[in-house]
Amino acid sequence: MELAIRTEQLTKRCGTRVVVNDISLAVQSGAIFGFLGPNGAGKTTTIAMLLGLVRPSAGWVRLFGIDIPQHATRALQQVGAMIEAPAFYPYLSGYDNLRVMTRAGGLPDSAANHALTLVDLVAHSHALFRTYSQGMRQRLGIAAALLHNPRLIILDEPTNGLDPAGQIEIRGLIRSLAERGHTIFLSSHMLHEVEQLCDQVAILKAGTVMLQGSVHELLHREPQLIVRIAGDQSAAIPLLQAIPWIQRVERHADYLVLTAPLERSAEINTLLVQQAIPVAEIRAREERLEEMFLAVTADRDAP
Amino acid sequence: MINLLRAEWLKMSRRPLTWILLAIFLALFVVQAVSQTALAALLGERPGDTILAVQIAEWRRRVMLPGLFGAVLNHLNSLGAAFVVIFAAGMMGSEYSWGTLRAQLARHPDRTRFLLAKIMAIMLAISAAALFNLVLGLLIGLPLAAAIGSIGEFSFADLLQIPLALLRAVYVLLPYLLLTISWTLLGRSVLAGVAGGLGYLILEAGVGTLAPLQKVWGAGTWGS
Repeated sequence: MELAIRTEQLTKRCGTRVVVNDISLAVQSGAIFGFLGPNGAGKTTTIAMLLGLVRPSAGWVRLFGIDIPQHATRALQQVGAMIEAPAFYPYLSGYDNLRVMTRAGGLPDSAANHALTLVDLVAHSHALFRTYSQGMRQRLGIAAALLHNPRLIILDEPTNGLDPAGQIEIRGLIRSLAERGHTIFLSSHMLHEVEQLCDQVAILKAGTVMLQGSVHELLHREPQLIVRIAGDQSAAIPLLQAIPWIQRVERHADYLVLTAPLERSAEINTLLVQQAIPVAEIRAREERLEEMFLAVTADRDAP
Repeated sequence: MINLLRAEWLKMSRRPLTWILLAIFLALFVVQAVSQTALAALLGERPGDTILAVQIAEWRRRVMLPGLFGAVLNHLNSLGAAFVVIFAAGMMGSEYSWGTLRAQLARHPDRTRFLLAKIMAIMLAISAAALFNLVLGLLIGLPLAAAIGSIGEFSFADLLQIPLALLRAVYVLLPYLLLTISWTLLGRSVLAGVAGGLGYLILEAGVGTLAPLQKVWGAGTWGS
């Protein structure tokens, strides 16, 4: 399958500080790719390098096989982007802001109308941008990214500042864009949003990709069971640790987490009951992206 | 390039700053023309070549033909430079403060073409302002001149010189425009452009006052 984005050992240094370190991404065409990381992890710098706005110190970027920044003009014809906060002229209406872009890109004015319809902003299209709410600004930013019907859409925090209804609406829009064959590169802090929307994800920490892959595979890479003992769980721990196919036993306040095959939960139950340890509950643990994100981005050097 | 120029023109023509600066620039011309003509009418014609007599004659000449054209061009090249600095710094610097430059470059990464389109659009706006000033000069100057006696004389040869003189006046403003754009790009702000441009204007005026020293030190060392 064609790759919409491919980076190899992408690095950006500012003086002695390494902002982005050796990032290799592969985003398949048609996918919704989540790009996660705490503040200052290097997400926006990476996006700026993808768009040719910042020159990499090392490594390379290709969009649909076209080198950036060497052939940026050609490559960016297939890309629509909203970077950080939506940036528009405050004294122009939403419609005129889009017209500035259609004129610059040699597109017909009808493209502006079409994009405004897609993001449901037609009713406010003639109001000045400075009077727009945060949600309307975000929508206009997405409309601007869609103007030339690009194959790849890069969205940096697209639901930032939106109320829950607005967030659901934008998520729906992103889904429908993906269904129409657009590739979406989504940088977001909303982990549940990424989990709901994305096929693939990369988690960034201090400029380095800590984890990358399909959301489904990452969430199911390590099967875990939650075992709740009725009473004192101390007796159960050495017993479970002695079983060779249980890789790890983690003790929590009122339950144990076992890293073990899910299909062997009945055996665990039998074993514990035979040893007169009453089991209140055994169930598969469904890891959330949020937990994974926190685990991956936690500062392991911290005391 | 034409597409970028059209986009710049849309931004510029819809921006209140453009019309406010034009209104102030033209209002200053009107105030100057009306006040000087009123003073000339009040003081009446003075015989001889006293400073006052020469000044009154000059004020009258500025609203009569063909002196009116000279007054318009003089307004363009004196106060016009300061307005060009503020306008150009506003047009370029705001792209940084609003973050629109980054968004623009993410779509059309050719910075040189963007900058050229911006400069060309500002030059077009300056040319339009010069034309407005000329038309307003005629609309205001001729009735004023008629009120104080004569509208003067105007030949076909004078008429042919007007477009060239206007182009020259606009061209004279180009270095101030380029200097302001350079300062704005360096400082990435409106303030840097205004400070750099106006600073140069003040410096230029200051150096200009030293010109009489040429006579003291001799023309040979300053050129002929």
